[in-house]
Amino acid sequence: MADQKTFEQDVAELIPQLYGMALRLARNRPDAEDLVQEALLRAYRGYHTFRAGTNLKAWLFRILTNTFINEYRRRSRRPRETELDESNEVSPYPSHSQSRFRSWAKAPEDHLIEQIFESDIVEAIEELPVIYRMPVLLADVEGLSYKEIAQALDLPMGTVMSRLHRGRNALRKALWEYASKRGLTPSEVPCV
Amino acid sequence: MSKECRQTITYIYRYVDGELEVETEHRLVNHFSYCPPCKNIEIVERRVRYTIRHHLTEEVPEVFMERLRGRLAIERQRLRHR
Repeated sequence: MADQKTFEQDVAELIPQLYGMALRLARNRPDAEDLVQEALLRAYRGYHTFRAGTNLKAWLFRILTNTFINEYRRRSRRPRETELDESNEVSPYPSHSQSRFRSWAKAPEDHLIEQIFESDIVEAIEELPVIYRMPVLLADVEGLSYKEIAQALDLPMGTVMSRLHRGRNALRKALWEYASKRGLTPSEVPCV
Repeated sequence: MSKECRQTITYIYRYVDGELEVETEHRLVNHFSYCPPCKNIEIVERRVRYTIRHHLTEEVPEVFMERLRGRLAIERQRLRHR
């Protein structure tokens, strides 16, 4: 059983991750800050139910995402719950003949893909329907394992993997489009 | 593009996530060793993640942290007097 006295200390290092996640879910700072605060208050009140030694990070993300879904569904900024269509089963890495992957891979560290603007990435992420945005953020930004994501979202592993797959495909395709608009796609050259 | 390349691309996320079974992972490592186009895709996927993480990692404003500490202190008092 976890001790409420050590709560603040225990969660301190996880607050930046919760804050980042909240910002991408709520899509604006005031709502994100309310969301983090509400989730942490709930976590504090229920801390005696958290079993020490189990995964605190997954537990906190679970409270955060539940709070988001319950509280914010009622608000005007209703999360989009549409499904990504079948086309997102197709990989954004479709074929070897696409030269940009070759030139992107060969480019110096600070070039091309890294030049995709922060605003483009934020927009692409926030465009994802919530059920895909949550696992993609937990994996791509927060670096959680599939098992931790399954715990955090209370979903079976298979569902986590399929949502992650579709969500990532959609996100990367959107990023390729932004890159191309910004002229980061070099002209086609035959691949080796 | 061979069948092996298509399979490699199907598994690319799980490979970079480190979530593949050992056997499949070895198969991919081996494939990358002789297939530069697939190796490039692996590199790009890693760069994409680096870029996403780099741009979306947030600093928590100190003003918010103060508000949060204050709110938790009130909650602590409230629970104690119940």
